[in-house]
Formats: sequence, C-alpha cells, structure tokens
Amino acid sequence: MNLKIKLTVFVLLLCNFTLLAQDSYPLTGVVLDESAMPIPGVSIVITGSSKGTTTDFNGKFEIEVANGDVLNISYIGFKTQTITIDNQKALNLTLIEDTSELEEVVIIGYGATKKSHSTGAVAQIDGDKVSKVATATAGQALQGQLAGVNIKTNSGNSGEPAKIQIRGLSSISASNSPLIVVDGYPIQGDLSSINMQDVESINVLKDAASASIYGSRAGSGVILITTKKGKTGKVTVEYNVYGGLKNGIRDNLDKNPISSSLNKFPTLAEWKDYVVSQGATNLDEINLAESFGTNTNWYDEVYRTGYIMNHQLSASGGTENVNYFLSANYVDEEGIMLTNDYTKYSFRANIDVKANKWLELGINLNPTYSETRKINRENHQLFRTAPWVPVYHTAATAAITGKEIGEYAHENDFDIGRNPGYTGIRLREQSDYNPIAMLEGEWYTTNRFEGFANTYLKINFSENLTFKTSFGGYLNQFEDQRYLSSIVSREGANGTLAHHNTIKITDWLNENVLTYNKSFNDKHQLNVVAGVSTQATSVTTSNVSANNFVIDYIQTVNGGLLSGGSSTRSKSTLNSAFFRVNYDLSNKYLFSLSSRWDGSSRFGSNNQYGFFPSASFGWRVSEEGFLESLDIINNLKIRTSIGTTGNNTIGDYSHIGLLGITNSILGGGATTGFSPTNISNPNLSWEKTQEFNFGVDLAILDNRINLEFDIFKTTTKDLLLEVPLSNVSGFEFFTDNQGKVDNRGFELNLTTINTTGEFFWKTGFNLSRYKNELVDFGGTQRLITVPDPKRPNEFLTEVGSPLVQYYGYVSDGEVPYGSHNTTWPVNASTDFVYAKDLNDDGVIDENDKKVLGSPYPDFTWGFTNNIEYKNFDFAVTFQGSHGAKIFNIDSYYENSQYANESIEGFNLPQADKDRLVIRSNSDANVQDASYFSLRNMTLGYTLPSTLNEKIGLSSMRFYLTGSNLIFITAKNYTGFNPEASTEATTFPGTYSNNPLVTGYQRGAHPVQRTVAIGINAKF
Amino acid sequence: MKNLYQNTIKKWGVLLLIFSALSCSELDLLPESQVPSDGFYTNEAEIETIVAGVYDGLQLSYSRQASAGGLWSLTEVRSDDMTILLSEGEWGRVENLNMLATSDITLDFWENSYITISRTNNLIANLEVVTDEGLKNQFEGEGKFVRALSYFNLVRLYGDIPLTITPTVSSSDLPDLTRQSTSIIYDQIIADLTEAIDLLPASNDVGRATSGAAKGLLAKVYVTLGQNSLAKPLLEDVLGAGYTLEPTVKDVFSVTNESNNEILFSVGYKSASNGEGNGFAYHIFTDGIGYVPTQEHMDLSPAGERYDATLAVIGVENRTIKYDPDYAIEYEGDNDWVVLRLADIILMYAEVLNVENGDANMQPAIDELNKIHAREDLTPYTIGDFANASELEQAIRDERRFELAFEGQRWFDLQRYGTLVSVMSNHLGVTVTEDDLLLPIPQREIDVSQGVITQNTGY
Repeated sequence: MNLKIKLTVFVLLLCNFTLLAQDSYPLTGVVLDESAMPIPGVSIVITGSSKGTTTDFNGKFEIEVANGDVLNISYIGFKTQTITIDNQKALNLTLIEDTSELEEVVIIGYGATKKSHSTGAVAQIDGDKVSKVATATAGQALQGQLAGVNIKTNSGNSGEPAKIQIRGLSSISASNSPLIVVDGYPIQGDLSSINMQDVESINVLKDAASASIYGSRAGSGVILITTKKGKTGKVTVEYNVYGGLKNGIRDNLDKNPISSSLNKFPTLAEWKDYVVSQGATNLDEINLAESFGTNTNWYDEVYRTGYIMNHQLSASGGTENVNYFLSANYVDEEGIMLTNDYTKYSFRANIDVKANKWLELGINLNPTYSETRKINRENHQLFRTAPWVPVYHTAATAAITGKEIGEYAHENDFDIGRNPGYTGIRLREQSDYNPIAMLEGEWYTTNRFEGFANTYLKINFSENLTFKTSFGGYLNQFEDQRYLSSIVSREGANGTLAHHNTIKITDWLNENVLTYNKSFNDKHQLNVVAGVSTQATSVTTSNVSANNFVIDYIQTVNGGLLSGGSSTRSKSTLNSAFFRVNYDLSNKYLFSLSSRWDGSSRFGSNNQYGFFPSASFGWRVSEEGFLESLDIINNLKIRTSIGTTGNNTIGDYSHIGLLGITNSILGGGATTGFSPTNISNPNLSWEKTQEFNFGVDLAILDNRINLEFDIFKTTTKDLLLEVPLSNVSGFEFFTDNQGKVDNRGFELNLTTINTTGEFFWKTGFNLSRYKNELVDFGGTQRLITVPDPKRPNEFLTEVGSPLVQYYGYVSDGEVPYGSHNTTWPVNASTDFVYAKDLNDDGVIDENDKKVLGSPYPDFTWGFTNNIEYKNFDFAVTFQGSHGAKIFNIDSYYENSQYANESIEGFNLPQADKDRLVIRSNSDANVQDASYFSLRNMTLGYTLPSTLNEKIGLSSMRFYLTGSNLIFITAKNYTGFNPEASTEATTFPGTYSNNPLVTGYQRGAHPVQRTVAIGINAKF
Repeated sequence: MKNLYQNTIKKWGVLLLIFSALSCSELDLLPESQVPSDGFYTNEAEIETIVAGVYDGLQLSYSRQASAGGLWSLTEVRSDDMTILLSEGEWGRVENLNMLATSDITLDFWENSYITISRTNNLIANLEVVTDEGLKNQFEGEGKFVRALSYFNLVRLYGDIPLTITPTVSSSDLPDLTRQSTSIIYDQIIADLTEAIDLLPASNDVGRATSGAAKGLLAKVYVTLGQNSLAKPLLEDVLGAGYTLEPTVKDVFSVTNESNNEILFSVGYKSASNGEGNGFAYHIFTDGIGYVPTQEHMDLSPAGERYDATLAVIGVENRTIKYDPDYAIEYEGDNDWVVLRLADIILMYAEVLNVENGDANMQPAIDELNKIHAREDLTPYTIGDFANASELEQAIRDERRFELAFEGQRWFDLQRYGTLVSVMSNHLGVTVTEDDLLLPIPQREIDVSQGVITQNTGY
C-alpha cells in the first residue's frame, strides 16, 4: 500500500515534470538600473533548479521558462528581485540599488562572501571614500575609518608610509605589521606604493579565523586591497586633478617649556629682563648678542608652505569578452620643511578576458616609481641654534667673526676655539650647525621602483567548479644616496661622507585554487576553496660609502675615499596548501572551517611546517521564526570564531648557527676573519597566535541603524623571541620560541542612516580598545632598556604588564634660580630635577622609581559623516586617541643644550644635591599623547546632468578637501605630533629601532594640515 | 560536444598538474652571505679566519667604531688626565665617576670584552684540525693572550666577574654566571699568559701576539698584583728580546710607522678599509663629545719635544695630538691602539728596581728612567735630584703619566699605586669613595641572569 502510494506520487511528479517541460518557452528581457543604463552580468536563475543565465553587454538576456517558475534576479549592489512567470514573453526590469550594508561583499582571501553571511571580524572601506583625501599615501586617508586598525602617521617626510597595527601588539622580536595582499598577491612592501585612486575596496581581516587562510604570515592581521576592474559597458574616461597647500601645525610651539620660567622661547630682551629681575649682574654675553640685532625664528626659517599636486587619468570599460581598467597617476609634493620633495609616477593595467564559456584569463600590471629628497634631521637637531644667530652673516656678525656677509652663520663661528677669526667673548653653547645649512648642506635622496605583475587563468569546469591558477612577480628596488657636505660636517672634510645603498627584493608567486560552489535544495549552501601556493623571495643589498671629500662638487661615492662596501644576498621560500569550507544551513546557521599548512625555509628542519586551523560559526537569529515577526529587526547575527595564525617575520637563516665577517687589521692590512654570530636552533618554529572572537551584528529600523560589536582575546605564544642571553656567553641573544603575550579588547562600529531622500545623511562611529600583557618573557622577569646614554631614560619590560612602560623618578620641583648659572645663555632649567622620595626612607635611589605610564592608548575612535544634498556632497572624519603617554625628549634637548652643569657645581646644600636626579630619568618628559582631530573633510559639488550634456561630459564634480583642519593635543603635550614615536620592527636594535622603546619621541616633525581643491571629470 | 568538453578538461588537467608541480620551492636553504658554523673549522685556513675574528674582538673592546665608548673612555676620561667638552647626561657621569648601571657605555665594554673572550674560547676549542704543530701552538697562544688581556681589563674595571673558558655552542650549555673573586680571575690570566709565552713565536705580524708581548703583559699583571719578584725576570727577558726605543714619541705614534720596534702589542685599525678604522681619534677632535686633556695635565707635563708631540691648544681647547689629527676621520681613524710598548716595560722595570733597591742604590732605576725621560730633549735625571727612593718613585710615576699619556694607562696605574681615591677626590673636588672606582655591572646582565650576577656596591 505504502509502496503503491509512493510509486504513484513518483509517477505523478514525473508526469508533472514532463508536462512542465513541455510548456516551457523562451523569455527575453533587459535589465536596467535606475538611470536606465543596462546592467551586464546580472544573474537570472530559476529558483529550485540549476537553470540560469546572465545578462549580456546590453543588459539583455534570454531564458527558457515555464509558467509558475520563479525567477531570481540578482546583482551585487542591487536589491534582489523575484518574478513569478505568468505567460510573460518579455521582461523589462529595473534593479534598485541596495544601500544596505548587509548586501555588501566582503573579501576574505581566496574568495568573497556577503557581509550578512560573514562569520569573522572583517573591517572594510570603499576605495571611493579613501581616494577623496588629498594625500600621496594611503595611511592618512584610512585614519579613523576602521575599528581596531590603528594607523599612525609619524614622519614629516613626504611619501613615508604610515604605521599600521591591527588589534594590538603581539610580537616582540618579529614584525607586528599586517600582511598586505594586493589583488591576491601578498607583497613584500608597504602601502606607500598603492595608489588609492585605483582601489576598489580595502578589507581588513582582523580575527585569526578570518586571517588563518594566510597562515604563517597572518599573525598581525591581513589587509586585502582590491583594485578596480573595468565594468562591461560604455567606456568611462576619468580625470581627477587636485592641488593644495600644506602646512605644519605648530600650535604647540608656545607650549614648549624652553624656559620653564618664561614658558616660551624668550627673546634676548625678555631673557635679559628676566635675569636682571632675578638679580643677575654679568650681562656681557647678552649685551654682545643683543648688539647683533638679530632675532631669528628658526621655525619660520625651516618650515614653509608646501604643496601637493595630483593628476590621475583612467579609462575603464569592457565588452562581453574583455574588461579593462587603465590608469596613470602623477603626484608631486613639496614638503613642509625646506628641501623635502616627493614625486611619484604610477601606472596600472587590469585586464580580464573571457575567452569562452569555460576559460577566463587576465593580467594586473602596476609599475610605480617614486623619488624623495628626504630630511635627514629631526627637530631636536634643527632647533637648538639660538635666536641671536642670523641665518646668514650680517654686517654686524661678519665684523666680529671675520666671516663673509651672506655666509651661513653657525653658533660655532662665535667661539675662538672653533673660529680663530672670532674677536668677541665666547657665545657658542652647542656645536650643531645652522639648521638651514644642515638642510641645504645634506643631500639624502631615495628612489624606489616597484613593479607588480600578476596573471591568472581560470577554468570553469562546470557552473559549480572552477580552477584558477595565477603566476606573478613583484620587484621592489630601493636606492638611497646621501651626501653630507663640508658645510655641515662637524670636522670639515674629515666629517664629509657619502653612501649609496640599494636593496632589491624579487618575489614570485604561484597559486592554484579550486573553488566549488553549490546549493542543495535551497537549504544548503556550500562553498569550498582548496589550493596550493608557493612563494620565493630573494633580497640582495649592496652599499658603498666614502668619506673625506675634499671638494663638495662630486657628491657620489667616487669623489671621496672609499670607506666601506658590501653586498649580501638572502632567500626565503614558502610552500603552502590551504582549504576552506563555508556552509550555510537554511541561511541561518553559518559554518566556516579553514586551515593552511605553511612550510617555510626560515625554520629549523625539525619544525619547518606549521598548521593553522580555524573555525567560526554564525547564527542569523533574525531569520528565526520567533524574530521574523519583529519588523524592527532587519538583521541580528551572532558570530564566534577561534583560529590560529602564525608569524615568520624573522631573519632568513635564524635557525642556522652562523659565522659572520669580522675582519681585523693584521700585518698592517685587512685580514678576513669569521666569528660566530648566533647559536643554531633546529627547533625554531612559528610564532603562534590563537584568537577567540565573539561578535554581534545588528541592523534595525529598515537597516538604517547598523551595529557591529566584537570582543577578542588573543594569545601569542612561542614568540619568535630574541631571548636575551648574558653577554658572558658571547652572544647577546638567542632566537627561540619563548614567551607569551596576551591582547584583549573590543571594537564597536555603529553606522546610522540619519535621513534619506533629498537630504541624505549617514554617520559612522567606531571605537576600539585593546590591552596587552606580557605573560612570559623567555624566563626573564624584567628588562630595562636605555635608548640614549647621553640623556638616560628607562623603558621597562616586565612580566604581568604591558610590553613597554616608562620607568623612572617622580619629579618634585625645579632647582631654584640662583643656585646655578642661569645668566647666559638664553637659558632654561638645569639637567636636574628633585626626585620624590616615594618610599620615604630619606634616600633617593632605585626604590624611588616607578612606572610612569605606557605608550598604548586606552581607546581610539573615529567618527565619520557623509551628507548628500542635491548636487552637494560632504564628508567629514573626526578621529582621536586617548590615554597613551609619550616620552618626549625634545623639551630636554631645548632645555639642556645650555645647562651644561654638574650637580657638584650647584650652590646647594649637600642634602638637596642628593635629591637631584637627571631630568630625563623622571616623569618630567612623560606626556599625555591623547589627541582629537578633524582628520579629513571634503565638500563636493557635481554639475547637474543637464549641464554635462552641453559640455560633453558624463559627469563633473568640483571639490574642496582638507586634512587635519583641527588637531588638538593634550594640555601637557609640548611636541608637534603625539603619534610620532619610534616604533621598531626588529629587535634588538638601536634607540630608533627597538620595540622595547616604543613611545620614545625625539625630534618629531609637525602634523601636516592640507587644504586642496580638485576637479573630477568623467567622459 | 560532451567529448570535446572532456578532452579539453583532460588537456587542462595536464597543465594543472604542471602548475601544481611548480607549487613547490626548496625549503632547505643555506645562507649565501654568511657561513653556517656546522661544517666549518675543517682546515688551517678556516681556523686562521677565526684567529682574525679574535683580534676583531679586541678592536671592538678598545674603540667601537660607531660610538664613543670603549676602553678609552673608561680609562682616560675617568682619570685626572682627560675631560669631556660637552658632558651632557651620561658622559658627564663617566667623567664624574657616577655612571648608571643602565648606561650603554658600561654595557658595551662588558659585551665586547666577553664577545672577544668567547671567540678565544671558540678558537682554542677548534684547533685539532691544524696539522702544522707550530701554527697550532701559535693560534692557541694568540687565543690565550687575547683572553688574558680581556680578563685583565675586565677584572681591573669591574672587580669580581664571571669566568668562562669554554665556548657556548648551544643554548643548553650556557656558562656559569656567578662572579668569581679577582684572585680566581688572576689565576686564569696568569695561567693563560704563562702558557702563551711558550706557545707564541718571538716575532709575528704587526697586531698579533708574540712571546714578548705575553711576557710584557704577564709582567704587568704581576706588577699590578704587587708581585715584583715575579715581574722582574720577565721584564728583563723583554728588555733583552730585541725591542728598541724609537727616537721620539711622535715616531711611535706615526701612522706611517706603525710596525715600529718599540711596540710589543697593538690593536690594528686602518681607515678606508671597509670599517676597520678606529672611533677614538674622531672623538678626540670633535666637539660632539670631545675628549680633551685636563688643564692640570697640560700644566704639569714638562715642556719639550714630547710635550709638543702630545699636547696642543687648538683654538681655545686643549687637545692631544698624539693621534694624528689628519687621520681623525669620523669612525675611520687610522691610528692603532698601542696596548704595550717598550717605554712602558722600561718604566715598570725602573719601578721594580727602585722598590727592590730602595734608598741605598737608586742609580740603576734612574738609568732606566732616563732612557725614557731623556729620550728627546729633556735633561737626564741625576742621583742628586732625589733625596730618597720615594721621590724617585714619584718621578717614575710622573714619567709614566706624561710618556704614556692618553694610552689608557693612567687609570690602571693609579689603581695599582693605590692612590685612585685621593687623586680623583682631588681632581673632581668631591669625596670619591672606593665604591666609585669600579664600574657598575650592566643592569641588563643582572636582569638577564635573574640576579645571579650581582651589582657592585654603591650602585
């Protein structure tokens, strides 16, 4: 009986199927967008079957349908439509653009997914948004846009890349920089070569589960950059030009405590009044200096209004078979400091060919060339010269120094010890050169060529299965040349020098990826990615140097005596296999499993391969019956992930015991020597990061309020640590997998569409916070690092605390006037401050030191607004960071350049002398690095389309844009850029390149304010 | 149609395989610009390079190229003979004998000395492949000489220090870091030098150890320990070994005469030799830090040809011109660092004779003293110049001060005379204590050893 029924049903179904099949007929149609332009590539699928097609170049399609079929018409960026077939013979459809964030596509590495179905923590931004900012490099445009992505611009030199850090700091000896992947190619470079106007989107893989598909290189996150592709349709030619002026923000100048008593850099007259009021009588030096009649403002001499000029011409479009995007870009920048210049040329060709039904291929080409004349001096060196020194000798100073009128004047000229022709009393107090001479007397130029080429071949075996193989190469050739002329060397020709260094990175990559996509019964959606990849990188360096240039005419190495030369070659390779399964059940339950196996030449034979698995799960709660009735909630998704990533950014041969070149002079000549430089470690392996992430996505009120919230906990263990060894062993460090760092924090991203319609207003707010803790430091409990013995200050690295903390005495007042010589020169306070006796034992010693703060912010935030009204568009980004401290040594330089005194010489009781400590080792220089900024603001006006037609354009937009229009620093911060601190990528290193001295500010250049106008025309 | 599709897939399948084969790179890579230590040490020529590396260690210890530190600053600048022009921060502390334990200056010297020692340990442990017995002995002697010299410098500057005489080859055999008493360190120094005397040849390339150098150094160790009777025969050996005084001090330090016969041992430096220049010469003449003679030294040094070859006022600054200013190129100085020369030996011998003979028989010591004092245009001393041996002793000490000025001797001489506290208190105008004389053990070493290495008192 049962069987019979079943059979009957089966037969009926079969008949039904046949009947329907017999009734099918061809349906034609066209799909247009809201402005009646055809949309090619729209997918039209009969629901519940595998039958489907896509629209052609003119938006047209043809499909066999039968009555009752339900057509699903979808295209990325548009709302999906469903049409039930009821004898229609032709369809004219208009797709409505979908502004809902949920429909956005998230690039996740070797694939993409809809944002609504993403299970990891991925931040993203459109290229359009970042290309609006007038800046030559990407960093500044990204500031404040991405939660959990900390971007610092800390160089005053034009063209320097920003420092990017994702979710805190996990590694000590290895790099903390994220992996940058451009169109699928992990590059051995930074963001500086990326032309933001070519960028379609930037996606940041923050949690380990998302990033683990990049395995051993993803420990610090992954930045995926997708460049623009041509869209099938009419050719679009776009020309974008902007030009603007730049200025350094020097609002803090008056806060510089060059004189703690006068609270600003005093003029000679003010200084004189002050010391006279304090009872000083010997005014010889002041009177002499005053007689020159000079009062140079060195800041005004060094800083200038720079400019930025950008031209971008691009053409994009495509036919049914070929799509292309071509662009050429030229940037010319004049820095805000004398002699600083930057020029960049970049070109791009992205071509995709659809050869036939099953074969696609394409190529991306991107050569970039840039040239910079750098400032090789920092502010602390430039601004030590006293204001009574003129830039060029005047009649008054020439007479007393015996120099020519118009020559550079240096403080050294006012000292018979340095200038035998000087006839006055000694005025010189420091030996640095006149800042203008320092800038004009040194040529430091760098140029860089980056060539990127990647080709692919894609075979569509079936609608579900595709195979893609790609082969590409990347070349990064960097050259820097320096010449220090006799004008500014401390010892004339003996101090002149030149060097010429080149670094060439050659990299090639082959990847083979299979992708399988299938949906079953409308309920199960499966996406599988599997592939293998191999990448090889070689680095060659060469450098030559010379000194003792007798004449300044020749500035290349051949003009002097050769002092050094070397070239090196090293290589690393990486073999990988990777795999990911995304499975959606009923559109509600989202599962993702991924893993990567990496084998790296950088590790010991015992541990060459690493396995980096991850798993994530998402639950779209809003799709559940019990919430479906709640209209207010459009989307509610809970996601959680756990994953492992690695870090392999150490030297190429760290696991091998090596001998390095250590020549010596024997028998009167150089003799080749070798000495052990490191201990072998065949067990050396990956640094492993495990991360747990929990997130909630919520969209309510017709998707107008979108909230994303993530909390994470990251544990990085088996750090690739340069484990400090006692030097008694003959080695300073030993590379080993030791140590553990925890990071935990949260990110919040809130997007709201405040108004729609004619006045469209959208805001975004993001907030992030992380805290790091050193859990294990390879057995060492604490390590104090002193970067500069001349001005000692201590950085403490201690188990149980953040990686870096400032450490020292608490200051307890200044040495009173009169107890030391403050008459001359234009003085300041002394090198010393009283220290607080913290433990009240009557003695100032080690036990009175304490932690004085850390360089990590409590939280950072960004706030963006986008407004469109009629033909106007307006965008503004505010951004801030709070709670970080910075160790700013600059004021110490400015203060103590003159106060060259020893405690012993002070007219103070011994008990008071015993309470004095060196100023730099106290909290006197620890300042609040918090800031609030209006990072970027843009106002645009697009010509009405009626007008465009008349002048033969498809669109034309004028815009006015500004960066850092507001930049407010904390009250006690006296420098120019609270973000500009040393941040090293290698350990151990010098003061400027040691991660354990993070937060050390010395001579930072100002934050730059830019105002530019531009035109964007499309033909 | 179906067939065609399948055929195509087959074709591409082959290509796919080719690509997949490409997807594999060699992972076992060896360095190209460094040598793996595994498989090294196989023949004489390779060991010879290890020997050169040992001398490179001495170059580091005496004057690091890129910084102003090195033995120079720890001996001369701390003594009453030199001062610093711009004594900002830590440099002022070096001069004023109150260095911080966290200072790089103490760390650099410690580090470079122990690196040198570890290179000697490594050399001594890898000699079995040298088949030529004479050469093997020489290499061993050189290793032991340099090790002894390095420990001798360390023990005089830091007091008790860790002792290691075997190389560290893996992280599991790290040396014992316990500080050993100075007498244990000196036992090792004496043992090494005694062996080195027998192992080393009488003559060798300039810049390499000889038996004469080992004898001279051992004599200096004994003099430092107050064991004059042991020093005397060694000094006599050296005096009879064929070394001769140059006509003038200028000749001894001329960069074109660095292989002169007065020098027992020097550390070689050379400009324009790819990073083999010295760092001290530049720092003598720069205003950046500027090591300059004290006024007291200028005032007391007897006028004459030696004075003119050693001291000068340039502009208004006192300067020493012992090291040729023309070669004071930044980090590229050409002068060798003279560790031991005949004048030093002769003056030590005069000192030993004077102590031995006392008031009764001063002439032999005066004769030795005059070899140096009257080498150039100074009037020879006569017996009538000295009322007693202690006056003569003072004259010998003064002679050492001005003859061996700025050669890193003054501090150690005052130390063995036992007068450091009084001389330095007087010089600095503050009360100097014994605790101020030893350098602070680098804080890093204490931290890294987790307290096994302890700090000197007073820091």
